[in-house]
Amino acid sequence: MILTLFKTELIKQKKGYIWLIVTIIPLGTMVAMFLDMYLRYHTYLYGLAQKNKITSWVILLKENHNILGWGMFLPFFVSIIATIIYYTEFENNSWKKHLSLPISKVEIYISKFFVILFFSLIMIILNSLGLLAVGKVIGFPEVFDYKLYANYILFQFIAILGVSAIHNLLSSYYENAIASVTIGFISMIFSKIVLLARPSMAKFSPYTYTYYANILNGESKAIVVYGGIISMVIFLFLGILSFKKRDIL
Amino acid sequence: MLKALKIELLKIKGSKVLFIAILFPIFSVLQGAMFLQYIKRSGESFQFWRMLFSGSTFFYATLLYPMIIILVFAIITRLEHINNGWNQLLTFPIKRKNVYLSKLLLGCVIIFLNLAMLSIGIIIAGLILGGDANIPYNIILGKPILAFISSLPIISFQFFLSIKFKHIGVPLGIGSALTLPVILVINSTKYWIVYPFAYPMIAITPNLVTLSEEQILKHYIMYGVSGLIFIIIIGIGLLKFKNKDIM
Repeated sequence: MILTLFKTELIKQKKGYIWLIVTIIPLGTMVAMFLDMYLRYHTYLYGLAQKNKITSWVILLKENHNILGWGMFLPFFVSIIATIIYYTEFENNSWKKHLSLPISKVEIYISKFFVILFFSLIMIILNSLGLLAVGKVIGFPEVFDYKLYANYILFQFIAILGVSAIHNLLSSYYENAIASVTIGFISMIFSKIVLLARPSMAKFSPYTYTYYANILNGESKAIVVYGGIISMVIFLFLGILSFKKRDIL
Repeated sequence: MLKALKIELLKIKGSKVLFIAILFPIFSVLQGAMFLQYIKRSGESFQFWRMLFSGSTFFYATLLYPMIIILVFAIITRLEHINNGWNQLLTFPIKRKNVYLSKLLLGCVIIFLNLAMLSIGIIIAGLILGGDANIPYNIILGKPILAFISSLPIISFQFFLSIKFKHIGVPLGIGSALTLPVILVINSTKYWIVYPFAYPMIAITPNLVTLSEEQILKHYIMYGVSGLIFIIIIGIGLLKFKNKDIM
């Protein structure tokens, strides 16, 4: 049933703005990274890569993640995706219809969660494909590091599990779409401050997990994997509890 | 016009827009205070107020400020997008021009309030942290005013998107996608001029080194371009709004 609901959700979004958002954001990052590489690769970044004995692909990934701020913004983009998905229901006042059908509320809620993950994953993949295109156009001398970028995609996906569960809960709870996005934005800023001022505390905020997704060393991997999965379980459980109590008005 | 503005003020009374306008600068000032403490601990010599201002405004101008503009206009126009608000509003005997301009003016006032809160916050934080009485008002009060002028293209663009699209995801998504590259664009002395989302950062940064004549000229061009883009986008938006159908 969840799969059927998932497919229905995708059909609902077919003519919506979600495709525009999940394409335009990675497109923006691709243009920005191209500009960055065009201006600094031959004069500075390539030399830096050689000095540190890393490939141009690693430098590109780090520029995208840390300098451009993809790692910081990603949870906020997930919050926008979640808002758009739930907005369809509030806009058409279709909750009443959905919740009076003989379908389990839990299944409806989980299918929405999967849709958020699906569109977030597409956005993450498009971001990495954009980086691949930038590297090819600029003419990196090294062979494309498929393993690194596959890991990058995978760890970003695990890192957003918790945030997706949080925004699945918030977007289903608040009819005012801006409330959920604003909470996402404030949490993103606050997490950034915590990360700078108290790095040891940062691992308790699901909004920081995406920061660690590019480092891929032992401790960061553990934070992403355990943090992402544990926060997802907690917030998905809380969300289900809250959604089950929803009244048909 | 004044009447329309009063109505708009009443509408936002229950929203959290003022809370957002006041809260976000507090984050930035906190960050500036932490940056100052870090510099103090490093033992390097520094100019107290300039450091506090730079620490508070770097993150603010590159990320927070454009996002605040995006959120403010999304909130102001949301009230009309839900429950057929435009239809009701446009059937009233009020000039469409006044409706449009009063919403724009209200957004500008809230954004200006946000910048004022930033300046006040920096002064209060500086005095608490032991700054001397020689407060450089030309920087702390002057630079945010310049940032406001330089952000007119973002204001007009986000206002246009927020009026045009019922779905708030569109102005939010497009706005945040355009905010993301700012940090990279400002590193280029050649190309920042073609990217209006980078203007507030350029305008608010205190000049720690003497600018070349070319850079000074670019700054003047930036303010001119900002005004011009603002007039063009608002003009197009107003024309479209006047011809908007009541569905």
